[in-house]
Amino acid sequence: MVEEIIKKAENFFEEGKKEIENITDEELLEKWRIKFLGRKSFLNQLCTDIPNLSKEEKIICGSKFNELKKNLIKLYEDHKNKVRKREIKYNLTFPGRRFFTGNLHPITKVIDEIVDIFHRLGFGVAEGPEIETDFYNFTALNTPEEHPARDIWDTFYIDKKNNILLRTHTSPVQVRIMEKYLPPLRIIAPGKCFRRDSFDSSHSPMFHQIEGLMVDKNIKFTHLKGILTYFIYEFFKKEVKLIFSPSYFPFTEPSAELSISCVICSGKGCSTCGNTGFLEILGCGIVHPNVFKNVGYESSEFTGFAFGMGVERLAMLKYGIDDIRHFFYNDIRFLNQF
Amino acid sequence: MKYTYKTLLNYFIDEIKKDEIFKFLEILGLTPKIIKEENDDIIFEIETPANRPDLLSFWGLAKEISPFVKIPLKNPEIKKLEEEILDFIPIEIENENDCFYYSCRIIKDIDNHQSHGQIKKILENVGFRSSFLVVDISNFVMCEIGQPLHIFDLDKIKEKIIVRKGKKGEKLITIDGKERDVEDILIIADVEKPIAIAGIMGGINSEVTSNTKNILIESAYFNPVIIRKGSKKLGLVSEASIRFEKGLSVSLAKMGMERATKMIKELCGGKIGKESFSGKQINEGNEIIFKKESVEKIIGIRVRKEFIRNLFEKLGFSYKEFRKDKIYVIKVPENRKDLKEEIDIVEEIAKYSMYSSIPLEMPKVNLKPFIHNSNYYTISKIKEILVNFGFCEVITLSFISEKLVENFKLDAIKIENPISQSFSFLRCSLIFNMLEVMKYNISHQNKELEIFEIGRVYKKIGDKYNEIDSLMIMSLNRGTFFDFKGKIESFFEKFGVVEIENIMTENFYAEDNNNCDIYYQNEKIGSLFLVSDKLKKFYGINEEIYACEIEIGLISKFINQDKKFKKLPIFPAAKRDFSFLLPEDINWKMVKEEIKKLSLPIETLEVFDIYKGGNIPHGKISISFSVSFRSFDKTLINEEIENFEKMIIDTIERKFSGKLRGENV
Ligand SMILES: [Zn+2]
Repeated sequence: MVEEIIKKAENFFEEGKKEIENITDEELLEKWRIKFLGRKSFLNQLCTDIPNLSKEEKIICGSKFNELKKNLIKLYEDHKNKVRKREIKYNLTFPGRRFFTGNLHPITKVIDEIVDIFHRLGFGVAEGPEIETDFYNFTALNTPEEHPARDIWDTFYIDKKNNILLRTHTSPVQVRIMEKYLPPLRIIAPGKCFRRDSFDSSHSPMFHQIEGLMVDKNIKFTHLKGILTYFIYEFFKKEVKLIFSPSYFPFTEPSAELSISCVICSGKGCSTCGNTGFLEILGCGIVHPNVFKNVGYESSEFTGFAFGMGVERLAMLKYGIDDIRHFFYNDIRFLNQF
Repeated sequence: MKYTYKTLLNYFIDEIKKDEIFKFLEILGLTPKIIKEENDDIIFEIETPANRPDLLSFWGLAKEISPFVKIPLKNPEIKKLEEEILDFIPIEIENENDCFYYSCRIIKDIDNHQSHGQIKKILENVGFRSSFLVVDISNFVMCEIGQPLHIFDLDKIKEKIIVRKGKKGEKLITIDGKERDVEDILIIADVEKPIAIAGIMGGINSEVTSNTKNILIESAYFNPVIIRKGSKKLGLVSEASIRFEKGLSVSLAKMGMERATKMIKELCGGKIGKESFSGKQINEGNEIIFKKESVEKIIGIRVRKEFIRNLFEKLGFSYKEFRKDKIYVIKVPENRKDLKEEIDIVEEIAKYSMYSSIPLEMPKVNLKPFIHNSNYYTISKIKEILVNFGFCEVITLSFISEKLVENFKLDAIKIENPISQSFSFLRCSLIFNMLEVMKYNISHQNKELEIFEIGRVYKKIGDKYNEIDSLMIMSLNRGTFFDFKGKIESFFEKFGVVEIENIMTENFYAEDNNNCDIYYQNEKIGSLFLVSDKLKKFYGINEEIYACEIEIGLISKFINQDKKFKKLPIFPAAKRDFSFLLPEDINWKMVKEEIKKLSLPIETLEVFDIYKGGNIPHGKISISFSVSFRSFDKTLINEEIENFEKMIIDTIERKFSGKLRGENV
């Protein structure tokens, strides 16, 4: 009797196992569920025979039924995942909706980057007025009145009689800082400068410069070379070739001009470098003793170096921009490129 | 100045390869720019330093590269020739501070003809227009040794040479055919009239012509400052003036006279007259004490004494060595006025040691930090936040146009010598050039813009020139005014500046009175406004533009203050929304204050909708706001919150004649 019931139950289970394998949609699966796991399933019907069995037989039968039922449920649950419809909520390949992003001006980016490089070397930022006096812009920088070198800087005057002008370089910041602080000094001074140049593809009456100054005991020309070489490698992110050659500025002596192998053509020669393979990047030199004298430093005790570079030129080289006016037209299509 | 390779070789006793010469010039920073290559010669140009008039000559340039080469220099042949006739012209110098030395010599009965041959060719190669041979010789001597000379037609000079300042009303037609007003300019005159502008250009009334038989050679040393001032004043730059204004010397003037006399005698014949000269006694050729250790101290290299000796000798320094060649006392040539003190000698040694051979090293320094109050870091923080909010930074020129200043009667600082009318004043606000940027972009079909600029604006107060760091933010077609204002408020919140207050006032740049000033802790920190039609019209803009102007100096103290942690609340908040009909001219700030006076546990109170028109009665406005109630010591129960709501509704209805639109919208 017991064996017979168990046999029937096992057959029922085998039947269920076989049937479910072919089911591919949810509707048929539900029918299967009702047939094999429903209240009126054959298994439940067989259960009605159990009370007629002996106590021992009840136990055997009950545990067998439970086992089969459990297995059927497992079959059902496993299969349910197989037939479930896969719904695609979104077509994820569609483009996202863009939002407006702001941008720093390329000049700001270049200034920030340069300041950051020097910051790592312990240089602090200093600033000075754009409306300057003749004294700070020229005289204190060893360029007295009627010095022929003044022609290098064609100057805008606000009040010539009272010697008020627009600074032609950031070098007056050196003087102002040295007047206020004693060495050791390491400063970097970004800012706007003005020269009576026309507004064309390579000139602008307003431009940005960054001035650097380091004054301490035992500062030498070798250090100037060391610091600027580090700067160029950091800024252009590659090992460009550097050339320091003699130059003339009234406020530095010896004075030098730093050229680098052209970053556009790698020295092969192109229109940017005028086919020379080299680009002039900045002017620098050892601070002239007269400048120290003018700010009241003991020139035998301290030495220092200074350098100045044009931001627009560096930005043009870094980003490959061919016309300086782009910086000041502020075309949004230009600004968003950086 | 232009030079040619072949011409340079004339000043060495043997040939030097042109690649060698070019290499040495590069090392010295005198990068040659090649103009023309022909046959076996090269014409090239060099930009020489402003303090080196000696390099504006073939001989000078040859001398400059001579320390690099073993082949000795061949100096131009200078020989004082015997005078053949006794004729001379007396000289009178009005002020010896204007003219340090003046010499002249008569040569009579020259064979005057057009230039030809070698001299003509050289001069044309280096950019001169060839003329009569005597004139070409004077130009050649200038190119050769750097001393400008002038040749007068002797027969056009009356009695004597006077070096003096031009008098009021005096005029002279210079050889370029232009009439020059020479008042207060240093001139050369005879007893009747000006005949040349000293050191700058000769006069047509005394120039050499085909009829000239007798000439007067002038060789002088003028005060460089006087020449420079005169040249600036006249707007006249000549080959002579660019040399004189850099400072020449008496010895060079003497050399020039002898060289020119000899060449004219050789090439044009004639009878040499007596040289007359006048001038004050000046000591030339600076004496400099040079310590060898200075090179190590300043440049960081050591140099051998053989190197120093070779350099000094080739550059024509006479020197004595002291203390076992540790110290040198040097006398530099008269025409090297750029060498005045020890540092100048150190530079020469560095140059000839070759900058590229100087090693590089990083300094070992005292790590004393540099602390200086700079707005740079504050401005960087502001820029970063604005960029995060989607604003694009612009940088505009600091100039504004005369037309703009006149149109709006702006109080702007004028530039005395502008390059054009459009760049003739300094901006007194960032608004103008930013509107120009708006216009530029609109015309390029970019009509949705949010931009900002941080820069200085310039204002004259009394006799002081002030530069104020200013921030201007502008919005075009990127939502409503309140979207824009929300960004500005969020911008301030980033710096802990919450609860800014607004007061509607007038603003010159705003349309009618569509401006509110922004106050924080009872200080005005900026203004928010709709850009006025008349300004927009000036730039041809029709679109509505919102703007915000902030003075950086007024907010920097808030920006740089440290933030303090506030404990997070433990008990839940209850949020309730209200919507009221209120009179259109309601002052929202007062509403807020009245609600505040109720002393309810209000955490935030935010407006989320303002609505006018449609089904809203005329003269009314619908304002919806949401209030978040939260207690820091308990959970608020419903009855309490209902009571708070009633108090708010009651206050607004009673004090502002508001009307609740439906309950808790
Ligand atoms: Zn290139």
